[in-house]
Amino acid sequence: MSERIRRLTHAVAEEPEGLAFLDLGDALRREGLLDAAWRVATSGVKRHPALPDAHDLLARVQSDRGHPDLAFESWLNVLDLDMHHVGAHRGLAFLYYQAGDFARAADHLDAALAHDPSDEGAQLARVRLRVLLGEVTGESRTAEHVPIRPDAPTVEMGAVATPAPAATVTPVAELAPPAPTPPAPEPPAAALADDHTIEMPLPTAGDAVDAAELVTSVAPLVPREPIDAPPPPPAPVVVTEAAAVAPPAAAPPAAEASLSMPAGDANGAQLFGTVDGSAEGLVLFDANGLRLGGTLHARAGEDVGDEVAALLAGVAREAARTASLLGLGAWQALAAESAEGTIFVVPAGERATLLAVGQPGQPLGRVAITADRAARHARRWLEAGEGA
Amino acid sequence: MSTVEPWLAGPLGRFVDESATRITLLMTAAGQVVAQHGFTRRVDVMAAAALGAGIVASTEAMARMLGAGGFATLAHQGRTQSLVLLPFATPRGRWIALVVFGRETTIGLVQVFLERLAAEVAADMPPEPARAPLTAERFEQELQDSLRNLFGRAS
Amino acid sequence: MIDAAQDALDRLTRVRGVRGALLVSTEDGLVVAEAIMEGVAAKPIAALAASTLTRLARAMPRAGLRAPQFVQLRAERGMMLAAPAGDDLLVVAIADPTVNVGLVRLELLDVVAAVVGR
Repeated sequence: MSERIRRLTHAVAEEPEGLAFLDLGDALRREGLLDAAWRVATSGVKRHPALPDAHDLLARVQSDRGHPDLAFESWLNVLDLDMHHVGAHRGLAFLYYQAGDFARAADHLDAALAHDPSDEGAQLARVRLRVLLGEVTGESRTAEHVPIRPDAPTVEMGAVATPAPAATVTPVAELAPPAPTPPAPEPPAAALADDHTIEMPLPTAGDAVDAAELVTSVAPLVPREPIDAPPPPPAPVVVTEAAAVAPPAAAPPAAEASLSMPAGDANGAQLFGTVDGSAEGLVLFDANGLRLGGTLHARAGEDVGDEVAALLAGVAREAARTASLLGLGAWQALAAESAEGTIFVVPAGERATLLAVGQPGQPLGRVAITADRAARHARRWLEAGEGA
Repeated sequence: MSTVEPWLAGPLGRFVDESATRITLLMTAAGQVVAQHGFTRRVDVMAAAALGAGIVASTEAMARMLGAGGFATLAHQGRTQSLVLLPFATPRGRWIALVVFGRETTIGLVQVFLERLAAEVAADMPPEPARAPLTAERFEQELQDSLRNLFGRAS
Repeated sequence: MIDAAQDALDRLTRVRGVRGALLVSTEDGLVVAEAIMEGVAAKPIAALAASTLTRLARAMPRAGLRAPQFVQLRAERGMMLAAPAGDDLLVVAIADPTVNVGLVRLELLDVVAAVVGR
């Protein structure tokens, strides 16, 4: 045992309620004493549940122990406590990168850089992501198949144990409902090194990218707007060398049991009772903000159903709370008109909510009828699944 | 979250859940801590309690000077975090609630739920057990015992 | 502006079924002006209406729509209706379940006009 660990252990023993456990846990992790690090981290979180750094330490230990799903949850806890926590954003960027979701990895690096622009490791990683996402060459940013070139050298930006083996990443699947992923070679657990350096292969000459431009053109800072309740980010698709595992939960563990889904495909006719069978403009989501069915596309064509579900779950909770606290009873509907259309949000049973988006010019009353009808159908559909 | 008296856990827990505040401290008018949420160090709790009680006392002195009869709530708005102090009456005398919150909530919501908390605390408060006379030595010991209770019991 | 808004709020409360009307600071959730009946608590209405509208205003752009111009929350025993008045104010009405929503909506938008000075 190193002298530093001995000294830190003594400090923690002298003042158990102090914060020396943070340094001790990290020192143990760096020396590979992961079980001991885990015990120190969990004890620290128990004593200081509102301390973001305690959850961050636990996340790093979980990641090094080969539990990316638990690390993911812990970093989400950090962001619940401190949405600007640089360590959490870096850690989540690493997990998303490992899962092949470069767009979300980039989002988290942007958030980290917004609060620590001097973070050179994050800057370099972000630059490389720009290449992988095609941003530097002007291509649109998508989450489609972006293979990690097997012959590209891996560059260590910090103290890294071993370089990650290259692998071809399958397209990131939509997360509602989650799908099992095929097994693939696992990057070493120690890839998340001392200071969460993120290993990414350099672009090859074929990318026709000016190296100087890469280093200096750091992605623009994207400050996060304050949010009343952070929407849970969709879970990354985690690939391990063991049998395929289900993706980790996107939201903190729900107090209620998850809804069981009816068997078979649910098109618009079955789920919402629409005459033409379409589910466009109708989104059914649960209390955790996870989409259960329906679709919603933005003008540019991308499916925004998941994002809207996550945000509206918070709105639905606020509507329910408002109605209850103002003595108005149980809420029945929330309607909002804007210049470009209307939305109607209604409960669909006890644990789900439905969104209906009306087109410009469509009377609010008609949208309301569509929403009510769709909610009734959706409730029956869900109940059919629970009874199965 | 930690409380010196267990009955405070319910009202304080509900307040923290509804108001989305970051730090909450309940103390007597003399600065003795009775419950806290969000603090990580004992020394910070002590400092906050002492300073909060001092702010309330000096503001009340100013209110008397102005003939204002007292201020219901004291709010200090910061760039990313704000502070609210609410003195309120209980069967055991005046207590003070100190709350720190960020941009994830609003002062309006915090005030609404803080007033509810104050009403619940005053309504649920059990009678105070008989206490031995307070000496300086016992005061320090009682203060340390309170802090040990707050931090020794992990939430 | 406040006097004109207060007059408009008073007119709004004369609509049958409206129990109270408020002008609210959106950022703080605090009451700026009010016209409410006995037994109606203004502060919680202000705080919760501001919170709901703020969340909605953040969610709607993701669905391809701009921030709301009118919002109605319907519940078992009443409803809350609201309309933003500029960037930092909100007009809110609390009403019975049987209120004429169309009429309340028009009066709400009159208050908005009085506030923004049109």
